[in-house]
Amino acid sequence: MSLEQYIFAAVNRFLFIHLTEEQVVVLHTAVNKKTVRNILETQLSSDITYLEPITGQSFKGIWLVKDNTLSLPGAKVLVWFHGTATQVQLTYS
Amino acid sequence: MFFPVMLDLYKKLQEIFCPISIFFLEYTLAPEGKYPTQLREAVHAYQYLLQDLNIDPANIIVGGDSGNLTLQLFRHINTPHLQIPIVIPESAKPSKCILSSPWLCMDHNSPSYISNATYDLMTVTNLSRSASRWKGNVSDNFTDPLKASYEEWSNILSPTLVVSGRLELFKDDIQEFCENLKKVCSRRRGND
Repeated sequence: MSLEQYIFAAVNRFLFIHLTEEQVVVLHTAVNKKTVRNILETQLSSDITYLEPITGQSFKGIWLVKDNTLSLPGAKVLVWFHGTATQVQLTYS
Repeated sequence: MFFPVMLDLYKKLQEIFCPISIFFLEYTLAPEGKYPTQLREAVHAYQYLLQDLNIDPANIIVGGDSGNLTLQLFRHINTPHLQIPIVIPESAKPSKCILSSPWLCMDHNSPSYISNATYDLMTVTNLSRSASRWKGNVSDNFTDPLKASYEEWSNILSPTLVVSGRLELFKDDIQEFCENLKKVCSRRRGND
């Protein structure tokens, strides 16, 4: 474990102990939001759809990457469960 | 932080001509979402992929930041949760499973909770508080996967990749889970 990782873990433990549960999930979601912005700024290709929200469903989901093979038979999908705080609205554009 | 990791994975798969789409279910974290809210969301999302998009389960891999939720989904397919009326047939089980640092038991008694206390991001106090806010006093085979038998898990799961850190609090629980599951699977293969 590097010194940088050790300090990172220690700072996180400090925050997790001193923040309330609600504050932790808001912080977690806010960090994700920042990462999402970075992804949008460095898109890999214009042929692929990134970060497309799924609407009209009883769950919150996004296509992180929507490959153009998705509509074809045999399309492969990786489903990833990722927790968020719904009081922090993620915007993708 | 899984977004960049996933994009990197996507790039690598593209390089070997293996196109894949990546779907993120943004499940509701506790304390806002109490158990079994997360499982309900996961079941709805999985059903959406199968029914609305007609994705063949043989082409679906399921994983997540929450390995526990991934296990809950597989368990629900095998034995539906009483509070979630959607039944997914066993034949529609995802083809593969990725467990990333799964939280397998909320008793937090394994030695690694002490030996790795100064390395992990989390603390036992924090984990106990989160567990309590998430599930209250409930403790069943959905919330605490180590409470179920390995025979049962070997029937429930598809081929599974388990990822764990050497210095994390969950290390010993994860190791126990993998070793026992491997034993059951090899014994079964030996009998077949």
